[in-house]
Amino acid sequence: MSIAWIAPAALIGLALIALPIAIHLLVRQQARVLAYPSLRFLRETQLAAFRRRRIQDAALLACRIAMVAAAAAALAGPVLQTTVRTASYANRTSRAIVISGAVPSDAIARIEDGSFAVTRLQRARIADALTDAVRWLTAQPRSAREIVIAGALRRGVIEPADLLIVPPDIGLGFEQTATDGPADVPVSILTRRDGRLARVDRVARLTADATSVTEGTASPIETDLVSITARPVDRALAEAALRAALDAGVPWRDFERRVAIVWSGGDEFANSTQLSGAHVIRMPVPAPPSSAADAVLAVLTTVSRPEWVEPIVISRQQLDSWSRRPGAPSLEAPVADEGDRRWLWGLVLSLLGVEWWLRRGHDRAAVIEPTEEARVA
Amino acid sequence: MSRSHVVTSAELQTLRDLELMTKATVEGLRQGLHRSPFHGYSAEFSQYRHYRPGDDLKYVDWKAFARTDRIYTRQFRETTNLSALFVIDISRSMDFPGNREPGTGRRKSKFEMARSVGAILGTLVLDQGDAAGVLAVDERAHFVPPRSGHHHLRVFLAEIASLTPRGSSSIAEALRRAATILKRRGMVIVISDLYDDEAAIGQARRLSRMGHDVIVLHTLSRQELTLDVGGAAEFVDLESDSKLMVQPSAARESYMAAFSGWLSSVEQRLRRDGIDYLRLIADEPLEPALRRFLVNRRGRS
Repeated sequence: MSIAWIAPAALIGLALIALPIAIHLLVRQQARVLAYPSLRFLRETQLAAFRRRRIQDAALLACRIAMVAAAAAALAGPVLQTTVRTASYANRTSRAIVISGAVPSDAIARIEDGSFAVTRLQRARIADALTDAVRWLTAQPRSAREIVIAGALRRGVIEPADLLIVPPDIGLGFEQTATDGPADVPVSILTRRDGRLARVDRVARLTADATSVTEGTASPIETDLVSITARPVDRALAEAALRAALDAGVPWRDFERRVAIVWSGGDEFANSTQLSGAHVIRMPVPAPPSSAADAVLAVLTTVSRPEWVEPIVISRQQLDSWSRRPGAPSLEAPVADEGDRRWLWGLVLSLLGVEWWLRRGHDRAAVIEPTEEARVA
Repeated sequence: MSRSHVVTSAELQTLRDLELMTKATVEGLRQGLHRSPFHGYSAEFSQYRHYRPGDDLKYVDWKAFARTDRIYTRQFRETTNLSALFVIDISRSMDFPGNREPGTGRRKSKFEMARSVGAILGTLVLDQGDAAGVLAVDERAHFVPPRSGHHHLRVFLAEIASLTPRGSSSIAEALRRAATILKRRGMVIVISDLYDDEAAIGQARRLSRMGHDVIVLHTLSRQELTLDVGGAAEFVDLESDSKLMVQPSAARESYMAAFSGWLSSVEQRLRRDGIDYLRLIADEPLEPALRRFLVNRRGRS
């Protein structure tokens, strides 16, 4: 068993022990003088406040010294580090719940269950919430500390850099709830079938960490939604590139634009085409048609790629890699609430009562009994 | 010295209608209000006695002779004047409560009250044609022998006004001297706080046994009765200068019990010896207490 102090500077207050001693020895000098006709019916009052050549009332003085010492120790906030107490520290967990987006209340209640202390934090940025959570946990009584991030946890919401602000002894947990996005999303793919353009309507099923696409019906497209524009000298090459791109299957999403492929030397043409809104692909000369096809495909997929095609939430594997268990509570840094000062304040009050009782006893003993003749009378 | 220095005219006027009568027989030099131990031929019939040759025939009761066939001579009580000696305690304990503490207001000390009482009663004595004198003892004796007459009133009051409570001698010493000074039976009025009660009562008893009419006016202050002092203080004995640390709140209950017991004891011992006793409290009106006392004495005289 050891003892630690929350505010050891307050132990300077022990110097105040000199106060009752000084009062005991010196205050008599401050007592006023009163001329009185006769001291015959008076006897000296044994008050500790009066100066004495020697300490006559050891019990009263000791009581007062103990009272001052207990008060100073209480202010310093002692913490007894017993085995039982240390074990109890380890068995409790303070949790800060960082909420991202809408989280069902039952999920939060499930996280809160069994916590020693808990708080909920919701900020615009996860990083800000984590900063506040760390600050709150630092101020909590001695316990294991953990941050639980709850929410759908879409990609981009949490970056690894955000998690660096959490000290290593604070645990990290993630509670991923269902996304609030649509379960099935219709998606159209522009493709070439049998030499003709066709729109294939498919359904993308979104789950927490994956998107599965089901095959849909194909509708032929009579008009060119995507046209390849090239200088007349390069048109054959451009046609080949478009065909190659469409054969690869181009996702298509509500846009109509032209793609202009310009080989070296066609700058004037490219400028005029840009002004009309076409997307210009500049190709070096000479370049094979496959290169042009790749370029067209890259342009179309980049521009038209639906965001939901990729998994929209952080994968469980990723979250597990970020998770860690809370460290054992620190035994070196006592926190304010665990001070045993309440017992010391109780001791101070008790000593106050004892001091009053001792003083009262002395006051009574100080007064003489009536004289013999008065008794006779 | 004007009498107003020790007593106000209002205090005197309220008691002008009274006399200080002796309840004992006193030996005066001339006729007066008070009973004399001697029989004479004044107006107050006293008793019959058998006729003895040489008695004045005009005092023979002839009617009694006719009824009884015996010759009786009427005797009359002789009245005489009173010789009152005021023995005043001028020890330092009488200078209480003092007026040393600023802001406490003017309070009448026991000595001031003693002076007032002496002046009032002395004036009454002199006004009724009796003799009054003063005796106080400190390092020396302050003595004005009892004399009568209005011319003596000024001397009497001047002596009382000149007294100061700075003496260290006890009232017992003054009473002892009074016993040696007084040659004829008279009245001795003792005004004191009686803190040397053993010796003082002994001397008062001696005077009483000598035939003097002894009156003890016990002067006290309200503070002495109740220990009405706030906060702990170092009490200094006014006479011995000894010191004591006292917390009045703690000491009050037992002090008051002891003090009241002592007062009762003093009164009982004095009254047991036929000494009249009156307790006077400083700062309380004198007139009611004195009036009651004088009326009682007139009734008993």
